[in-house]
Formats: sequence, C-alpha cells, structure tokens
Amino acid sequence: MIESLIQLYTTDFVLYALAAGMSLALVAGPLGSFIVWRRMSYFGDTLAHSALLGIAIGLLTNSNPQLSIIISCLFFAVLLTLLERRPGVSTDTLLGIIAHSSLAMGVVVLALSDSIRVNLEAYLFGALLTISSSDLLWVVAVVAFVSLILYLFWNDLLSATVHAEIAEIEGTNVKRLNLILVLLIALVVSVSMKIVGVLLITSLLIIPPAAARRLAQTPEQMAIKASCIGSLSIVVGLTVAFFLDVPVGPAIVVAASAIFLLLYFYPSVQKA
Amino acid sequence: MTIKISAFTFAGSITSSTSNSNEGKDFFRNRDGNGEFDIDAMITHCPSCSYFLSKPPRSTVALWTRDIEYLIRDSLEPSMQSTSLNNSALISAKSIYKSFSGHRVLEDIKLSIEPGQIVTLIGPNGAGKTTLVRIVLGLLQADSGEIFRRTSLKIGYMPQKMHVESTMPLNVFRFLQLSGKHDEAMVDETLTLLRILHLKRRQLAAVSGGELQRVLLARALMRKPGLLILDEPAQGVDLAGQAELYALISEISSNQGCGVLMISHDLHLVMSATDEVICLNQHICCHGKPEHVSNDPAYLDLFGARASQDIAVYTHHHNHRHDLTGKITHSHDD
Repeated sequence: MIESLIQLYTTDFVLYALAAGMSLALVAGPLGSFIVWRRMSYFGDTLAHSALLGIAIGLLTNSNPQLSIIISCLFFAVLLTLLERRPGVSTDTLLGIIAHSSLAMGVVVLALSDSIRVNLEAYLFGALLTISSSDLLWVVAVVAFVSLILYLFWNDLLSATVHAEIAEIEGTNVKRLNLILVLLIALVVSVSMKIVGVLLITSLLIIPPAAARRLAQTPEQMAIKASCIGSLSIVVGLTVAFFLDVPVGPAIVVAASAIFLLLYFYPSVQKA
Repeated sequence: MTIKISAFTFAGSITSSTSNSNEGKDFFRNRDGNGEFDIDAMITHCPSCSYFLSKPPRSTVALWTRDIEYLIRDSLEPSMQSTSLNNSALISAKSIYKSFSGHRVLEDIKLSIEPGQIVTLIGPNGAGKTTLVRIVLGLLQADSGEIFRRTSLKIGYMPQKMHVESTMPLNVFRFLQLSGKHDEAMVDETLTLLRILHLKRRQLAAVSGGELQRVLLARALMRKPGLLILDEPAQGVDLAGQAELYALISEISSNQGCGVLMISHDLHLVMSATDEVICLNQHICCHGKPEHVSNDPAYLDLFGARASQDIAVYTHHHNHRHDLTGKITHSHDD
C-alpha cells in the first residue's frame, strides 16, 4: 500500500493534479471565508453554473477553452452585480433563474454542436487527473494573482464585509471592493472547473471555511485554517479516489465534508 | 408677519421655519391672544410630529431676543444664510429633497453643524431622520439640494444597528482596528473612556446589544472625527446607561470640539446636552436652541444637570449605583 502510494505521488499527472488542487485550496481558504461571511455561496454557485455556457460558447467559436471560461465567468459576475441592484426580483430568485437557465443552455448548446465530442461529465464533476501542464500554469497564475489582490485589500475587504456603511464613511470604496471580490470569485471558479467541476466548485469554497470556523479566533486564522483543511481534503480525496477508483472531484468534496462534520461535532476542548 | 410672530412666541425652544407649520399656529397661539401667555396652560407639543418638546421659558426677554434673532435671520435669507453657513460649519445642507418611488420623504431640509455643536434630530417613525442622516453622510444621493462639507472633514458614524455575522470570528479589538491601524494605547484609552475596556478581547458575537452600541461609538471615535453622526446611539442601552452615554457624548463633543448630529427618541435625556433640536416630519416642523433657555429655572428644572438622576419611570432610591460595566461605583452612605 505504501509502495502504491509512493508510486501514485510520483506519477506526473498525479503531481500536476495535486499541485493544481493544493494551490486552489490555498486561495479557496480566504476567498471562501468571504463567501461564507457575506452569504454569497449561492452567488458562487450561479457563477459556476453559468460557466458551462462559457465552455459551450468557447467550443463553438473554437477559442481557447480556459480563456473563454474566464471571460464568460467575468461577464456573468458583472451581469449579476448589475442585476442585483435592481429592485423587483429578489436576489435569491434571480440567482436561481440565472444558475439553472445558463446551465441548461450550456448543456443544450453543447449537445447541438455535434461536430465536437465533449465529455460533459468532466465539466460537471471535474477531471482533475486530466490536468495538463498548461492547465496547471493557468491555475497557478490565477491563484497567485487572486492571492495578491486579497492580500492587498484584505483589511478593506474585511471592513466592508463587517459593516459596509461604516467602511464607506471611513473612506473605503465599498462598491469597488464588492466588484473586485466578485471578479476574484469568478476567476477562481473559472480555473477550478477542471478540478471539481461546475456542480461542486462552491463546496470547495465554502466547506473548508465553515469547518475552520470553530477553530478560529480571528478572520485571518479562519482563512489560513480553511486553506489547510482544503489542502487536506485534496490529498485525502485524491488518495481515496485512487484506491477506490471513484471520480476525484466528488471524492475531494466528500473528504472536505467529512472533515467538516468531524470538526463540527467534535466537542470544542481547546476553545479559548 | 403676524403669523410668524405668533409662531415664534409659542415656545422658546421651538421656531416655526416653514409655511407647513402654519397649520399649528392656532394650536400654539396663546389663549387670550394679548402677547402674554400662561405657561402652565400651554402644551408644548409639535402638532405635525406629535412630539413633546420642552416647556417654553418663562422669561419674556429671552423670548423676544430669540424672536428678533430668528426674524432677522429668516428675513435676510438666503444671502446671509449661505455665507454664514460656509464660514464655520463642519457640514451644511440646504433645500434637500428626497423621494422614494414617488413618495416624498424629505422636503426642503436645511441643516448645519458647527464644531462643538450638538444637533439632535427628532421625529416619529418614517419621518425621514435616517434618510436625512444618510444624505448628510453621503451614503445616499438627495434628489436636489446642496451639501457643503468642510474639506478633509473626518466623520465618525455610529449606525442604528449592526448585524454581527456569527460566522466571522472577530473580537472587539480587531473590529476597532478595521478603521485603521491604531496603536493599542489609543484603543485602550477610548475603551476606558466608554468604560468597555473589559470587552476588548471578547468576540463581537458575544457582546450584548447595549455593549455593542458602545463598541460602535468607540469605532466612531477611533479616527478622532471632526463630526460625529449617531443614529439612535442609546438604543438597547439600559436606562441608567443612557443618561451616562449622552453625558459622555456631550463631554466628548466639548473636549474634542467635534460637532455631533444625532437621532434620538430620548428627548428628556438629550435636551440638556443639545444645542439645537430639529423636529423632522418630512419637512422641518420646528427647530430650536435649548441653550437660549438653559438659564431659565423652568428649563433647568426639566432638563438640567440632575435630570439624568430623576428620569426613572417610578421614583425610588437605591443605596448604591452601578457603572456601565455593572460594577458598584459607590454606596449611598459615603
């Protein structure tokens, strides 16, 4: 078993998968914490669902798939932000409509374009083991960029999250920060599609922070511990998927959920 | 002119400023109509907003002085108004109008706050108090009107309430640090001033409603603001704490020379510390300066220094007092 483990983690494609998953988990900690604090999980879900439409359009127009996903995610992020400001339809309903209609449209468009054979399951549930070196490069570049922006705006983002109006009066441009956060989520969602798929992306963003909540006394602790829990889920999920021969994406999410449940029901002993 | 004069004489601390309050003139006109009026027979009650204001002063001299002052001021409007506003005011607003989906919320609002001045906004629910405050803060755009803000004016804002997100681990100290990097000594100083130093390391989610109000005030004070804007600062604070809190706000205002604009329903507590009361019900029903009458025995009797101790719903005596932290400060015997 140890031997097969060593063999597993010295294989090229597994190492790529591991590197991509771990870097995603790294940024998912702090970014996911904001999604939890701001109750935006449904927003992230909608973005992920609409990304499938981006893939379909990208395949139809024969453009770089990763680039077309990123562009469509950013487009939907801006669209959702604009629509949210309109009174009339509640945000909740609006997100539900957009999430499922864009997912359905994506599937329909993909099915219509019979010139291309697409493995739909890979987009819905991820295909971590098929990650190429160029995919990995995209993930690392986006993660580095998102981490840098989060680092630079960390205090402002926190302040705007805790109380938007106080932050605004203290000189923070809250509207700009909200847009930045939404665009960062869109970026991360667009590169994590290959890792866990559109249906499971949000879970990777919100389960680790939710699990880290009870272990944290400060926002920073929660973000860092969420990153650690996310990384652990990636390793555990990947290993379990290898031994049980199950899809990697769902295995990672199951691992994260298991850690969450464990921490949630474990009596808090060392809580200060 | 006669309407104005009669409106001016109805109460020392109330001045009718817009034509809309003419509807109240009969209500306020003294009974015999000869210029003398019977204070005890008068109900000082704003007809438009159903708020009880202060009793009128007894001194006729004080009354006449203020009547003349307002008469001159109003008649010289707007030229004198705009210049005097711009010179010393921290913030001044003029002819503010605001509607929400066709429903007029604010109408022709005029307001200015000087350094060290405490202005209190009162009015019933839905009167537009919070809307006005949000416009002054710049969080909301007025439909029309002008707002002058002194350049580089720092505003400390204390919102009416704050939703504490329980999923975010955040203690009071870190919450205060969100407004900028403050050194710990300064944080301690502010927390001590507000008597909440014991909450410094406590999680925000574990702080009670009344305590949270003081934490929010601390955050507003952290930046050493030139203007404090407080939306019902004493909401959720216990009765003894309320008087203490208002006394503190007035102390801070005079010590640091900052202007204060606050919304309050606790008129009996606020009056003693307020320089100007604006009674709002979409338009400014009336506004007045309690300071003009602060030497009057009737005023002192109502809102004087000892008012804070006499405001209990029923009169009874304790043999000790509690401070904001709940500690006993002194016993009655010493």
